[in-house]
Amino acid sequence: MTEVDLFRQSNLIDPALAIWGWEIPVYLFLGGLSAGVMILSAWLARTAPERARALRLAPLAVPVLLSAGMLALFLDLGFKAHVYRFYLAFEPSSPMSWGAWILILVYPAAPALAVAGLTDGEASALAGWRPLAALRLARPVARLVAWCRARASSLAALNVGLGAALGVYTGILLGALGARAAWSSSLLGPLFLVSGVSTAAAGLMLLPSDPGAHARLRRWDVTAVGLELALLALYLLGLATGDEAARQAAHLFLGGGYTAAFWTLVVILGLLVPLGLEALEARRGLRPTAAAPALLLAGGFALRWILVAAGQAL
Amino acid sequence: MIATFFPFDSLVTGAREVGLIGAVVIGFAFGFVLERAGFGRASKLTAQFYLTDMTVLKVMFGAIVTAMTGLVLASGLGLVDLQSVSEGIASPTFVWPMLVGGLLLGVGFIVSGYCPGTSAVSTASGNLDGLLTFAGVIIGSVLYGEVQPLLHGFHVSGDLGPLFLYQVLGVPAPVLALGVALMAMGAFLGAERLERVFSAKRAGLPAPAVGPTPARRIAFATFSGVAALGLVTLAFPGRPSAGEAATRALPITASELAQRVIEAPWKVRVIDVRDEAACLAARVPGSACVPLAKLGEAGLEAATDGRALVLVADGDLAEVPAAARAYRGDVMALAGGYAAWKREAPTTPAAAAAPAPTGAGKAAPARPKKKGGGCS
Amino acid sequence: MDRPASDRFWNPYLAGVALGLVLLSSFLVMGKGLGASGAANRVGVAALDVVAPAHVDAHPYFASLKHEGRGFFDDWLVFEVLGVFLGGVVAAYSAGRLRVGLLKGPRASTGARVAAALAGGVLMGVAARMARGCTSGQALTGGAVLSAGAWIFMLAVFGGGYAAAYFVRRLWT
Repeated sequence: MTEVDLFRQSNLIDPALAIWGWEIPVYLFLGGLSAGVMILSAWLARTAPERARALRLAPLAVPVLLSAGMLALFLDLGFKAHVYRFYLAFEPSSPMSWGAWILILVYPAAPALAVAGLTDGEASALAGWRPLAALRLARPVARLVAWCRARASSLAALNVGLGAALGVYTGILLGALGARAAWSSSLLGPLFLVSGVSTAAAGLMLLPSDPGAHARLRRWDVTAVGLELALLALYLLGLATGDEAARQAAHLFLGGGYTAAFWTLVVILGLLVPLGLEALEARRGLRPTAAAPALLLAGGFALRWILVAAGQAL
Repeated sequence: MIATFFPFDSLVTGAREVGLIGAVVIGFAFGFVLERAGFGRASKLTAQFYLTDMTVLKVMFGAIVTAMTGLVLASGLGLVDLQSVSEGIASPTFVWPMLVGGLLLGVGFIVSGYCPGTSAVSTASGNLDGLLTFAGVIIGSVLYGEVQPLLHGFHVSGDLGPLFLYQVLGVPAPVLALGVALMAMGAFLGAERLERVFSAKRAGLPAPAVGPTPARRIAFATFSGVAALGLVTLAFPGRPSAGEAATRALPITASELAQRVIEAPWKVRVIDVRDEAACLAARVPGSACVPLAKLGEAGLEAATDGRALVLVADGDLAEVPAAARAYRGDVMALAGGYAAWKREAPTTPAAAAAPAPTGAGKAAPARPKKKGGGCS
Repeated sequence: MDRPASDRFWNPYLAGVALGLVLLSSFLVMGKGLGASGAANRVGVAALDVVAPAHVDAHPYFASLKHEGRGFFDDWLVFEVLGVFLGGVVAAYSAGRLRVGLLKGPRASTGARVAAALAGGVLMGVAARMARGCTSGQALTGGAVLSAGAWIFMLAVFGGGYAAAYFVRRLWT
């Protein structure tokens, strides 16, 4: 049969259109997760200071997660050797520049929050750790630990601020980086922040903790999921009532090629089913399992993957 | 005539995407019921084969009878056409592979403790044995695919085509449905007796006598009731579905047809009934030239793949030609005929190289509507 | 091993009617039946495609799965099985049955159970492709529309299961 093609815009015809692969969604996901961990840990520090150890030490995961994310990003960079240039200047109008500097601040701020959450016993155990004495670092470490613990509430506030900035930045990054109609919404920043909080709550719920903290995290998570659904609705509404390009972007999720994937993986699997499981947990006092957190984490990654892929399809 | 309300197999783009979401919803209900019936547990499933717990028989045949009588009733009421729905849903009959495959699956079932569907439900409950079974099913499927070319002769042996029991037995479907329902109910009663005897044996106790439970009464009443209603519809003379609806052709616009022809040509069968010479000169891509006079020889009544049929004439086609009335599946006519296609639909690359004579000032309307983005 | 409360299941007759209604709604609304083995097949070939794409392209049946439509997962059954999984999770969780474990008969060892699950699964994978469906797709769906092949298959499944039950009784009783 004679082949007729209606769509020029496929990456088989215009290869330059599909630039971003898996690296960017991984970076965005880990960034959002880190932001959420910072915010929730800070909030737990204020409201439940005597929480379980795993939760108090959770902010230590932030540098690890971010480094993994940045590694993914690094692999995606066209000219890898130029990465140092991010740190030679600060460009207020560039989200990438903001992001580079926020990340620099996050690296010390999050572990500091973890250290500030150490109990007396843990603090002295840390200071008395033998290798430190051998390296003559025992006293500086002890002073650093004391410094952090004395400023616990300021560090908490700092982490909330930086976490929020990090979360919003991941959303703004997409918007600033291209004339992609699907990314032109200003709601992506708050959306990725809320999604980050939800995935972080899911991750933290997987850590061993007491039922009280778990219930708190779950309540936060239910709120975050609700907000995320609302923001997704507003995002789609905004696109659908925008200009022609925006409407075509909205169509991707409302009848176009990404409709089934989006509603199935992001909304049903990633938000509605875990929400249902958490509601059942609350109403019937069921024992919490890893099911809801696992689905939330998968859904959070799917959200970023699908948004990045769909955004490049137009 | 419409085969079902929302026929998935002939949908493209947007409607198909929504259909896939529908699949998740239906699957959710399926998985939920299976789990609540206890089919996430190997012990319950295998007990069937040791006669101590006949839940598998009751649920499976209960489901079959419910769906069967419901479908026959719906067909009797003229909501759907039983034959075309059934052919769209069930695979053709291949006697030997299905017989051997059934035996092998039965063995695999009792060895692993699950069937493929219940292994997914078991995995969902957190059971590692269910996960291992599902993994095995995946591996086995691929292995068979690898050797399938060698087994081709066997794989398609005993090909009886789409064959249904009511055709084999020569009885109307509602009659057979009632017969199956009665047989199933008899089987349930027998199964209950076996259960009592064998589980008592296992426990070393005398078999207790158990009478009809409310649940069984409800179920039996449902089966018999719906089957009887289905039988009653046999008495209606000339059901609306077979009659006048078949003479009206559903209109399809040129851009809709273009979309189907380009995106999923295997879902549509286009026949051009114009004069042969005009058809051979220029026609809808993928269409067959069968002038109206020769339509009766095209064998349309024997086509069983359920594809939608689109007839292209010079202009509008109000009535379905007699030769096409026996076609099983939707019969559509291109609104405006080939003239509309020429006006609105894309042309072949050779023609597109030269600017269209009437399109110079009207490039926008001449181009087909782009139905949304998304990857092609 | 199980708490009594989590052993409560629906009455089998009512569950059968409920299942039949789900199946019927699938027939009437979508013109599709239920199934599982088709999705497992696609997942398997997709995995094979990751490690050996040239091989998949060279194989006519595998290549058709890859290139028809929008790829391996662009299929009713794949989405349906995803739904089955989610439905199973919610049903199990709300009944207090969601926990990681390995179910086996009283006399079976863990190793035997693991081996049996895998071996039985592989056998079923082969059988389902041969018969163009499994108990959900062929027996249940095909049986409900009274397809001759489906009934042959269904009776053979029961036959095979009962015939082999004696030989594997150590696993289950």
